[in-house]
Amino acid sequence: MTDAERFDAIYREYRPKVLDYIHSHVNDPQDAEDLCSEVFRKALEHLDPESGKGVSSYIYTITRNTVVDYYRTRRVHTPLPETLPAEDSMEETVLNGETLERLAGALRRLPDRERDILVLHYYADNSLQEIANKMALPYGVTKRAHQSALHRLRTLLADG
Amino acid sequence: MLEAAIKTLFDYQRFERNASLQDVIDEVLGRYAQIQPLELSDDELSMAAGGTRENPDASQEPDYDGRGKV
Repeated sequence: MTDAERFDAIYREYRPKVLDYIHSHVNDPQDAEDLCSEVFRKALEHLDPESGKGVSSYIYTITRNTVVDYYRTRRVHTPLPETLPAEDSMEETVLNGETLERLAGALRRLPDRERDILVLHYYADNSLQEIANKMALPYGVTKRAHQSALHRLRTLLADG
Repeated sequence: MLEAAIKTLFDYQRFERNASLQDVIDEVLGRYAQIQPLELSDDELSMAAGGTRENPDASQEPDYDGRGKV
């Protein structure tokens, strides 16, 4: 298989993921298409098609950075979405399917209330006050449950 | 540190769509999707406003669990 064929295979596998991800952060469909093209232009410049290892996290990182640049340079009046992670955190977190499986397993082992709070807060980007309203809980209870959830999740992830 | 890692992993999930984690997420979001605030049309808002004038204290009545009406 030539490099061009390998890159083509990567493009076909990852284009839907890149586009879906961009759509989750960028509302304008044309901008999303343009950003998707930009991601693969950058990937083509640096990606080693021989190395299948880490392709997912590599393309995700390019995609995330491209979306951040979009907000910083082209949409200065639109705040950066809260759900976009900080760059230093991305360097310190292992990004692969196994880590996501471990997170899923740990979340499943949490009490329902704590699992719900973590998903609503960190995935759906709800504030703790919004979560308190949705769950019909006092804010203080929600805040304590959030802390407890983090503590328990840390233990579960450390235990593997 | 853990909070940043969770945020990163959930964002990576938007990209990678791991099936196990997506099941957990969909289950949670599905549970609370039903209790999003309703968006009312202008007609419905007018009707609601009319109802309030006829019974100005209605909005202060507690619902079944005493938390007050949403």
